Amino acid sequence: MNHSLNGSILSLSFPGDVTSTTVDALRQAAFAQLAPQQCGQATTLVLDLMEARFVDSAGLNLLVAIVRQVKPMGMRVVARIGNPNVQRVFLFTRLNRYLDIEMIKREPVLPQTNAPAGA
Amino acid sequence: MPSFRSRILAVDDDPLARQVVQQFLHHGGFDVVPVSGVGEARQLLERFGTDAFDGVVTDYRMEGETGLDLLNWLRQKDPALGAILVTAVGEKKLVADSLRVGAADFLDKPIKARELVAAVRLVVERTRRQRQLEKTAAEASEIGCIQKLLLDAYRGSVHSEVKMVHHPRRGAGGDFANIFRLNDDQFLIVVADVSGHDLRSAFISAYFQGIVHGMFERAVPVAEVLEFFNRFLISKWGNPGNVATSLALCAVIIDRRTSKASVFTHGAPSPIYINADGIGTPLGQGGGPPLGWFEHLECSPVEFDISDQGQIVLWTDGLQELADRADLSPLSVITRLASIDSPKSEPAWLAEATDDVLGLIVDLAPAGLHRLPILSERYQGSQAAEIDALQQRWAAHLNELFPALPEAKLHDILLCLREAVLNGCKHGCQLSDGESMTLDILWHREPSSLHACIRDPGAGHQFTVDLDTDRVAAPEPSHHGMLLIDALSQNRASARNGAQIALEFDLTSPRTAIV
Repeated sequence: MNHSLNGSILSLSFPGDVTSTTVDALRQAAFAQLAPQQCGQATTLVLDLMEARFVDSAGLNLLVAIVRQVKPMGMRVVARIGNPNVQRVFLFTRLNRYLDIEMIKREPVLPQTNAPAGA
Repeated sequence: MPSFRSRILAVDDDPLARQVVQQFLHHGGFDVVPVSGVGEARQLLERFGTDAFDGVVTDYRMEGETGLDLLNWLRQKDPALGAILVTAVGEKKLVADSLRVGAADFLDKPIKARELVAAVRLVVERTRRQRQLEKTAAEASEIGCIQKLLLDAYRGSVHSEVKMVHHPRRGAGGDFANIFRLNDDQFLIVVADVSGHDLRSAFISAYFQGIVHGMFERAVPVAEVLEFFNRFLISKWGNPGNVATSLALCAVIIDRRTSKASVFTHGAPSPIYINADGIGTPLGQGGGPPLGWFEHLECSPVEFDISDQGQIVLWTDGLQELADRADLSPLSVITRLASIDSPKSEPAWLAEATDDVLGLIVDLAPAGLHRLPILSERYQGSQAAEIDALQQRWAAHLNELFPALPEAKLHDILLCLREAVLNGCKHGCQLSDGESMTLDILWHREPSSLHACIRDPGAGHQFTVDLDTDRVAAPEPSHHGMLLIDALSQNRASARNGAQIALEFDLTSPRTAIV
C-alpha cells in the first residue's frame, strides 16, 4: 500500500480489492501510517480506492476501523472511488455519513490503432 | 470391368474431344452421358440428381465457365461424387492450387485410353465408398433419433416433466436415457452408458432397453433385471479374461405411493436430488462397478424421501468429463445445453466433448421444470481461504449462463454469495476441515430469478439487521455481511437461526435472460 503526506493531506492508496483475503495485510500497512506521530499535521485522510472493484464486509470493517482511528484526531476522511458498485455499497451501509465520497469516473482509454494522427 | 455399367458425365466443349472420351469410356465398360459445357452439365445434374452419376470427367478450359467452376459447384452439391479434370500442359499446377477441396483427379492431355479408364475406375470406386459412408452416417443419425423417441414415448406416462440433453459423438452412441412405467405407482428412470460410442454401442443399448422393457412387462424386480444383464454381458459378450462390453448406469425407481425413491448406481456419476427448497443432495454415493465387470453384482439401492416433489438430475460420465473440461458444474452444463435452440447457440466447449454427452432432469412436480439447476457444491470450513477462487468459479458459471447479466447485478450476486459462504465456513464450520457447508444455486425461469441456498451445520446466530439504525457507527464486524446481503438481494429468508439462508436475485432487468 502506497502512502504519502502532502502538507495537511495524508493519502493511503489501496492497490486493489478490499476483501477478506487482502484485509489483514492492508490493515497492517494502513495502521502503520495512522499512529498520531505518523500523521503529523495532517487534517485530511484520503483513502484512494480507485483500484478496488470489490469491497466485502471484511473490507468495510477495515475502513470503519480506520475512520474510528483517525476521527478522534480531528481528521476528515475522504474515500476516492472509481467503481460504481463500490460506491453503492458505501451508500447503503451509510458509510458516507462518516467519510466523504469522491466518485471519480475513469476516462475511457481508446484502443491503440495504427491509423496516423488526423486520419 | 465393373459388374454393372457405371454412368459417367463427360463435359467438353470440343465435339471431337468429347467423342474420344465417350468412346474410350464406352470400351472401358462405362455408360457415358456427354454434354458440351458447364451450364448443360449443371442442368443435367440438377434435373436427374447427382446420384444418377458415378463420376464426372470434365475438360478444364472451355468457353464460358471452366471445369474448375463445375467442380467447385459439385463440392457444394454432392462432395461424394468423384471427378477428373482434364488439363493441358502447364495448367495442372495452376488448377490444383485453386481447387480447395479435393475429390478430384487430374489427367493430362493428350488422353490415353488406358489411363482414362483406370482413373475413372478409381473415381467410381471412391464415389461408391463415400456414398456408403454417408448412408451409414445417416443411419446412425436415425438411430440417434429413435433413442430420443424411445424416451419421448415413455415420459408422457409418468406424470413428470423431463428435460433431456443428448449430444452423441456420432449420429448414434452408447449413451441413453429412458423412463419405464413399472406399475400404477412406480416408474423407473435409467441413464446409462455402454462402453464405446459407435453403432455397436448403440445396438447394445437398444438391446438392453428391449430386454429391460420385456422383463418389466413380466414384473421382474429391477435388481434382478440388472443382475441378469450383468451375467448376460459377461457370459454372452465377454471374452475370458477380458471385458468386452460394460454398461455404466444409474437407475432410480420412483414410488409415488410411498413418496420414496430407490437409487442403483453402477459405475455412473451419482445423481442429485434437488428438493423443493432448492437444496441438492447427491444420491447413491459410491455404488457399484459397471455391469459386465464382475460376475457378482451388488444391488443394494439407496432410498430417499421425495415427498416434496423435487427434481432428480442424472448424467453420464461423458457429460461429467465435458463439465470438467469446461470448468463448469455438470448441473450448469445440463442447463446450458438445455437452452440451445439452434446450432448457433451451442457453446464452443461442446465441440471439445470426447464422449457422448447425456443429461436428464426429471421434475416430480406435476407442472415442473420452472426451475433449472446451476450449482450444488459442498465446501469445507477451511475453504474460506479459497474464497477468491470460489468467487471466480461462481462468476464463470453466471457469465456462461447469463452472458448479458449487467456488471452491477453480477457484482451484487457475487458479493452476497461470498458473504454467505464465508459466514457458513467461519461460523457454521469453524474454518475446520472436518465440517462442511453447501451452496445450491437454481435459475427460476418465470419470472427470471436466481435462487441460492447456503447451509452450514452450525447452531446459527441471530441476525437482527435494521438498515435504519446506525450499524456502521458501532459495527458488529460479522454483521456487515448480512447488511450487504439484505441490501443487495431481492429477498432473504433464514432458517435454523441463520444456519440456512435462502437468497433471491431478480434477473428480469433488461437482457438478463439465459444465454
